[in-house]
Amino acid sequence: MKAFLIRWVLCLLLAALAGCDKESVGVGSKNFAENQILAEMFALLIEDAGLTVSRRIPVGETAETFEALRTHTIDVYPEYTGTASALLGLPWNPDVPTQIANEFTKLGIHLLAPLGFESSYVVLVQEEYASQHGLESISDLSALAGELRIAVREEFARRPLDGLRAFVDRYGLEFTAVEIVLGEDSSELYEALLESRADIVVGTATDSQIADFGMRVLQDDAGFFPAYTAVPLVSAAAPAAVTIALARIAGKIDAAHMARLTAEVQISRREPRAVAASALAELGLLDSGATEDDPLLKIAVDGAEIGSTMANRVLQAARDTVPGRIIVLEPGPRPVTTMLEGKARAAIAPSIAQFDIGENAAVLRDGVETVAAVGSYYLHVLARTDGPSQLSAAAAVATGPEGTASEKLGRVFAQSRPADIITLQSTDAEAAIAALQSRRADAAILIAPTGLADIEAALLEAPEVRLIDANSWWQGATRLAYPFLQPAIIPANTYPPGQRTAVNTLAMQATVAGQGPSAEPIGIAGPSSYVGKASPITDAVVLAFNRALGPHPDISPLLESAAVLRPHVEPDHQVLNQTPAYTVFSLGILAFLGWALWLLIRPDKRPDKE
Amino acid sequence: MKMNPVFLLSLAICVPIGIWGVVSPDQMTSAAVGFTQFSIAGASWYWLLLCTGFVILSAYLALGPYGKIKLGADDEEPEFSTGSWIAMLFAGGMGAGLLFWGVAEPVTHFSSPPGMVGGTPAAAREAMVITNLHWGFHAWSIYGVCALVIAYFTFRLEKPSMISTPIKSLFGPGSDKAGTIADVLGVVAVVFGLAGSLAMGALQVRSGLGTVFNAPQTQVVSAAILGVLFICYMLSATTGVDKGIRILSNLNMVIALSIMVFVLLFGPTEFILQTFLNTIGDYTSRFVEMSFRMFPYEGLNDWTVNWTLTYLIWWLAWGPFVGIFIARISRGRTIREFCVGVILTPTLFSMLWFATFGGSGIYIELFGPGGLSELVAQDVSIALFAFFQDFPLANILSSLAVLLIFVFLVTSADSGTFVLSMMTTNGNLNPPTSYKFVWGILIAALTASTLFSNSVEVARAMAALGAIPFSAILVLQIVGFLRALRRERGAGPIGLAERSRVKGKRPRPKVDPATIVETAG
Repeated sequence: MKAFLIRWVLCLLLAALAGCDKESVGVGSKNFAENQILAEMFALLIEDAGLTVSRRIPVGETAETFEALRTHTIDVYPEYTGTASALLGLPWNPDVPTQIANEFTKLGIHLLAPLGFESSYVVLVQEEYASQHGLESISDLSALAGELRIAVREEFARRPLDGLRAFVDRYGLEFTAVEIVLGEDSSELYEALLESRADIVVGTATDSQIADFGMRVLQDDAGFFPAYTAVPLVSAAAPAAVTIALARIAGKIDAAHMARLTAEVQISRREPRAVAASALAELGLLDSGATEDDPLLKIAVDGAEIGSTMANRVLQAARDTVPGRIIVLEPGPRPVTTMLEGKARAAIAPSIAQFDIGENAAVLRDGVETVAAVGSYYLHVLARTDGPSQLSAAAAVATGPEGTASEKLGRVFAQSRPADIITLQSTDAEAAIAALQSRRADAAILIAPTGLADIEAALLEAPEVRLIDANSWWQGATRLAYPFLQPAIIPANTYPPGQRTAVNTLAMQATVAGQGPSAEPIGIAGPSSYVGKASPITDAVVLAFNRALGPHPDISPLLESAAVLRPHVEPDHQVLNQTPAYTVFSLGILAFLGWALWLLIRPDKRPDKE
Repeated sequence: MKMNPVFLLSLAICVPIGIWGVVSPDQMTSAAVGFTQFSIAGASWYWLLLCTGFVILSAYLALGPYGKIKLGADDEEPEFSTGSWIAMLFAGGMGAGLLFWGVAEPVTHFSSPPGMVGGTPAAAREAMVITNLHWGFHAWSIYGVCALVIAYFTFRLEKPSMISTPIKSLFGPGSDKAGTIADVLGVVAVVFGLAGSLAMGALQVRSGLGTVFNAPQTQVVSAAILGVLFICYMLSATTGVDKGIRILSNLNMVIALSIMVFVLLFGPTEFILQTFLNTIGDYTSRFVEMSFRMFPYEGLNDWTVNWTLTYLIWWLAWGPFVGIFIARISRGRTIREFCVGVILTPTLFSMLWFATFGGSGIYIELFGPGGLSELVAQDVSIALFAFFQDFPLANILSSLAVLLIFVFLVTSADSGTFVLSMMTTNGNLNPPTSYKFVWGILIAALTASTLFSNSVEVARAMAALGAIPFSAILVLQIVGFLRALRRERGAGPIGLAERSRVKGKRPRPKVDPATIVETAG
């Protein structure tokens, strides 16, 4: 007992000494997600070394954060070499790390070993935009001078040496509009691009949205942007233990990893500290901190459409709808089927995918409900230049695999023709074109949003293949049996390489489909038939998703809308009790009857006097 | 002379209403209709439940443990032989009402039954069941229970035969105020019940005079009829001619039965007897359903209010009045005998009555010349006389019916003024003439203002007016009665001998009930 007490007092003393000995280590960061995550990693590692940490995450912009370090308000923060050299006013050159390390030492600041990735500025455009204008590098942009709109983060706009002004001067660009995005979050920057408020943005290489939305990175062919290698900047006054602790993470984080971590904060809305902790645990640098993985929310879509404006718009709206969940696109040729099999929560698909095609009739598939209409899918029919000029003239048609939208449309087409039509099943646009080239098919059917990169690429690669008209077969009974198809025109030059004229074709609504109320309840009747009838996607989510999508058309009446989207007239609620006076009167009578009953059953108080 | 508080309070309520009715009859009657409509429609469930409760209660009293208790000392013999007792029950229960509605009600329901298509055989069945629901067990259970309470306290416990007696027994000594309120409400119920019935009767007399003598259907004629009626019953009530009235009233019974037999023989006899038998089956088999039947889904609450509930409340209004009469003639009967005699027998009789008059009316509609329902729809009071037109000696029948109704009205009003005077003089069996005068004039004033509306609906509303507050007194009376019964079971038997020992030899009062009340209903 005595021994225990002594040990306990000793511990207290030691703890007090330790507290007096060392002040807490100040960890700061700049005001964006990536930097905050790194700062949290630093803080956790320093804490793991037994030091006390006071966090100032974030301090502010680069200049403020650096000033905080210089004035010893903080002891350490994550910086980037390119930025660091700009801070010191040094011109960029490849030897910079050694050079600026020396410069910093003069200021009493140590530049530690790089963390393992570069977070450079990159110039981004949407894939479709790039292919439309044939953009490869930044200098290609000068051809578009006078019609370009750009969006950048505020910090980039303010940087004197490696910022917007210098960038514009270096490449000789002109912009009709410059949108400066405030705030820490890079997702707003990408929204400007997705919502077509800007044609190009200047982002950061580690932004998760680049991979997510399939953005095209334009090459910095003039070598304007310096390398932004992430490094810890540590005050020389900080304890040596800090340097030792941070050495553990040197070279451990690559760009892809960083992008993933940033996405968890920006898209999944997780706390930077939690993300940092689980990342360190993953790297084996910390024992604890692993958090259970959020289940992925998947949206099924045709693989060729990943990166298309429409898919990106849906993805963005879904992320706005359920912040905190990781949402990804699940590629597959039959998105609705994938969704029905439970492999995805929703599917982006043309309306035909929601129907089963029978003999001259389309029947809505069970268990599917449409959550939103997000645009149109167009029937693209490809043929050789020496082949038919109308789909109706084709005798052998290549379609996608069984169950895909193009295969279904192929069957509809085959049914509408008196002559036998051979339908071939191919796997994708490339395979379809191969079938055309090998003359196994006269025409190939693709169903896609306009301007899809895959189709453009296919047309580019096979100059003998062109888009042909595809509307003349859709007449009479066929037209009545498949009303979800609408006549439409693909404008000229939608696909620059080969399409000089407008193409008459058919279109159908592009839908986001989810699982409808389960078609088979437990029982046929009675209370059990009501169990589990709820739709997997709740009404609130459907409404929030539709709000997040912005203005968009209503769902076609031919489809099964989510219940909450169906037109609903609020019944005129009447006052049910039209005669409150009667109620009062009845209550009075009840009270009287109760009193009479009590008079009847109450015990005799007095002896019988009768 | 020290004024009775019950008398003063009753006058304080009735006189202003009477004056109001004379000065502005429209306003007064519409206020009365409004009040009854609100009270009945606002708690229609309560009224049906209450009245069905009377049926259940009387069945319990007859078949339950109290059935053997005698209304009198345990070894007392019935005052009247069973035969004359039942004859007198008829006299009490038979009234102008049966003549008024005998044809009119079945024919009305036949042409427009609630929630059904009228004029069909099914409607005819429904009409007979509904009519008997209104005039059968419910009506007689209400009378029966009212009478039983009074009879028990008067003859078994030897207390004054007042409305307040069971109330005072319930609340114990020091409940004089409650007793006064009970008596006053009882008086008010009788006053308005009487005024409503007299107005209805006068309207029918006017219709009858119109049929037989082509008398114009005007307010003047109504006023004249009321004037003659008033003179007759005031003479009877205040002078010594009540013996003549009594003879007249017995004669009335004979005439009424004769008319019924005449219709039975000269009408479709087979059809009437089949209807009678069929109605017994329909009525008994549907009794439970009908006793609780409301129309919430059909939206026909108005029908329930205007027919079933108005009738039931009407019986409640007459309860204190007829109850006193029935109680008077039932001394020495056991509760079981009483219930069977007072409830079962008159119900069977009224079924026969309605089978005869209503059945014939329906026969005329279904298989005869028809046209009755249109006439009834226009004017209910003309139904009986229009009905007689299809019989031989139609004018003689109509004249007899008019006379019959008139005499019924006189005897009812005569007995009414007597009972009212008795109730307001603390149970005095020889109330002063001045009291009879006051009540006679008051009833005439209220009847006149009701007649002014020219409407049977208003008359019915008036009849129900006093019963609405009185129903609460009735409930409390029953509670007092049941408690007294329970207490008695704990005590020993009450025999004449014991009573004599305790209170000294006392000759049993010899009362001819006919001097108390003649007729009612």
